[in-house]
Amino acid sequence: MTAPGKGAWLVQQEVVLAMLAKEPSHGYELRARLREALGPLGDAMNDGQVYVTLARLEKAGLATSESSAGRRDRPDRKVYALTAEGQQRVSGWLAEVSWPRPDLAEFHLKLIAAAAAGLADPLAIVDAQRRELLRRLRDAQRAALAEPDRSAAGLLLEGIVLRLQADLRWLEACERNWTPRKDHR
Amino acid sequence: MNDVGASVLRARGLRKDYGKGEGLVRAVDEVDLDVASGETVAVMGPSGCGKSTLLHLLGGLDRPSGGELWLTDQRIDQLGERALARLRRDKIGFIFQAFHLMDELTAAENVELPALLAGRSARSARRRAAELLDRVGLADRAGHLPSQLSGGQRQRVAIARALVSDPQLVLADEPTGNLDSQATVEVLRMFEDLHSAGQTLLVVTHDSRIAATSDRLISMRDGAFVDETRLTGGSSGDLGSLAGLNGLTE
Repeated sequence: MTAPGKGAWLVQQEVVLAMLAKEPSHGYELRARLREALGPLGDAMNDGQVYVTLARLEKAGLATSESSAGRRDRPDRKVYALTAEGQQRVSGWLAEVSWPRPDLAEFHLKLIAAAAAGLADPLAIVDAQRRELLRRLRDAQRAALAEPDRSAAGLLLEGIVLRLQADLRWLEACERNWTPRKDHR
Repeated sequence: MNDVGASVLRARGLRKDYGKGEGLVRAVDEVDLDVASGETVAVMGPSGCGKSTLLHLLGGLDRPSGGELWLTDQRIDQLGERALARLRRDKIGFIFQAFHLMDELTAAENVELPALLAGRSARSARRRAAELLDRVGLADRAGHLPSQLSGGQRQRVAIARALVSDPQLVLADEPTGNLDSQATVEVLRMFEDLHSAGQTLLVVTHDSRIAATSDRLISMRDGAFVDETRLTGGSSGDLGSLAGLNGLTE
């Protein structure tokens, strides 16, 4: 998600925004939350990136900052909070179903942020994504089954089917993880 | 697209409890369900969510703790044991994960058996079994024992058996659960075939490929329905983007 490709910064902005939705936070707190959520994948994240993103968010009117006690020129001393507009952007991002396929890290962070901020039920987000994937799976599978054995086109379609299945299986794992545990089950 | 007609299966507030007091587990929790004639419905959910219990209730294999259940116009949750057994035999076809074929009977005999039990003549049962084995692509395996058939072939025999009494409803419980991917494709083709023939079908599964053959998909968690998706008539068509074809057309 930090690859400098098309739209990468946008994703990053929304992830950072969503993590602010829980409560006003220092930059280093956000960084720690991202690190925790991404595990070893977060190691590659440039520490300065969170601050750059926060500055951009502030400039765009999506976040505000307030200097807390201590030296005013240190970014670490600033506490960031969402503006109303920022709040709106987060809600929109949580509700949006990404397609053609969700970026794994983006989707993962979306669930974490949704749960932390209490803005959306992670299971509802999983359900929405699953609906989308299953419709595509149905289309791809029908097309694949309509092909004769050993057709070249069938092979390509089978690849699509298998990828969709893998995505759906991961959603099952997400569902298990975010389902509230019951003692008697 | 199929013509979707009157309600074949209808459940209201269907419930199944196990244990009591502190240890009470509600395996099926106030389920409402309507399956229309010609419709294929899949119920999906993690293991332990109650979907198999639900299927057993819907097929009269187990008794609900509460709620009401109708098959077409007949209320069936209060039927006596014998009437219920007759109803299962005549009006419902079952397909199970482990096939449940009789090991000592041939494929054809397995398919004929329910028709004979329902009082059909031996000749008519044999003719119907032959038709169905042909339909599932196993005409040349009619004399084989289950042990001489592959997993996918056994499940196709079981599908033929489920259809032998022209049931109003077919219920399938993890029909691909014991199959490898090639055999799964065979069963998928059969389900697509049943679907286009207008067979009313309800399948519980955690295999997304089988679920994707349905018109409507219901997600189940902790004994209750939590989400419903209509797979037909939705957005679709840009499969190319999944195969990386987007950039090639710009």
